[in-house]
Amino acid sequence: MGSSMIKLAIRQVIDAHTSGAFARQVFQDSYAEFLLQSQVYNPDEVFSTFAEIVAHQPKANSLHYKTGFAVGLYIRSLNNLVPDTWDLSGNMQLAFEKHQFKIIASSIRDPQQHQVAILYYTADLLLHRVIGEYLLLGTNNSTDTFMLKLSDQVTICNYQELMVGFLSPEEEK
Amino acid sequence: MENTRKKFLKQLFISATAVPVLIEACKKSDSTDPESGSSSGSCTVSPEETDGPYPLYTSRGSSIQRVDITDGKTGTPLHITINILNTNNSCQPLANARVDIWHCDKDGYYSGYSNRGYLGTQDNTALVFCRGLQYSDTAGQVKFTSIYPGWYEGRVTHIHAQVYVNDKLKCTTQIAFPDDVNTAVYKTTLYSAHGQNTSVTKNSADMVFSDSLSAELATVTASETSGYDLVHDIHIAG
Repeated sequence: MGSSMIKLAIRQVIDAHTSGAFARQVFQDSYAEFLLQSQVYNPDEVFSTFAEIVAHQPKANSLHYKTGFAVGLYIRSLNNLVPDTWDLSGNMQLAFEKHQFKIIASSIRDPQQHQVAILYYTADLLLHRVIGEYLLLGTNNSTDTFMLKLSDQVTICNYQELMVGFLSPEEEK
Repeated sequence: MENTRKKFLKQLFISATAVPVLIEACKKSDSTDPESGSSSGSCTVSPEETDGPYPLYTSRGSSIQRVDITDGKTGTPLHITINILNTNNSCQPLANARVDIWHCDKDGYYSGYSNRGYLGTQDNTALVFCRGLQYSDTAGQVKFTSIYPGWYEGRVTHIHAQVYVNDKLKCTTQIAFPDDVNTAVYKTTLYSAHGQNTSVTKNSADMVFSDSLSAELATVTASETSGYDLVHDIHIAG
């Protein structure tokens, strides 16, 4: 079996206990923004949690992206490098081409319940093989490789079998 | 009693700039869905609230706190000025109010999520075009540089706006454009592919503006530079 073309989605969960300057900024500002943006869906503060607000008003699902705008500059400061994705050599990080912000849980009365996730989506990568608990990754224009440890936070979100000769199906036509 | 009477009389003697004596302030939750419908209504004075946990939150990480909200989108230039006026202070300008606006691009598509329109489905999840927020200055004013919005099925041309004061949502509203300006813009080259809005032909037929147009219609005039100038007052109970 030859290499495959894949895209990865890497999930970073941030909550009250996550350390690091980036995580603290994302946590604090996304919580403050959630308190603002949720008001239109929760007049008189009848509901306490994000789950209750969405259950009562499904249009409150817009809170995922509206709250995400509030931390957009912090994510931009990552310079398209996914946090904590150093390869074994410690020299390289994976790059992402787009991201998505999600509220996992929150409460307007208890900031400790606030929990968010950032999903980082990579561009196309070559998946050469799986070695133990590592993905052996590469790119089309180089023989250099990157070994990424598999975890619950790493998903393959796009997959294409490549024909012999490493041409994509489109190029073969 | 005396203070109440003085306050009442003070509110009567507001500036002589053709503002009616009794202004209805936009309320914070006319609709639970700001994307599809809300309008200003009667004034409700905000209750006393404690500060939130982050009283100094200034949106410093926001990717939409900017004046130019076009993000390279093509369209007729639109220079937006919104004045925030406080009905609890004789309609004087209110500084440091956070004003969020958002609208669709010239083809009727919003940033931030996937939406369908006359050009098919667009996944604009990663984008923030035509969204902005500003904090009002000492003149109670916020300004944005944008493009003239397009339209989408079922709604007339509009800009969404929300106003927060001291972390409290004061107003969820929409801003309407004069019918004749919409007609003129949608005849021009950039907008002619979508053309005139045949789904809702005028503001008085719109499900949001039909009963509240006088409060929500902006003043839109041809700009000295290019495009149009939009000026609108939003009254809030600050």
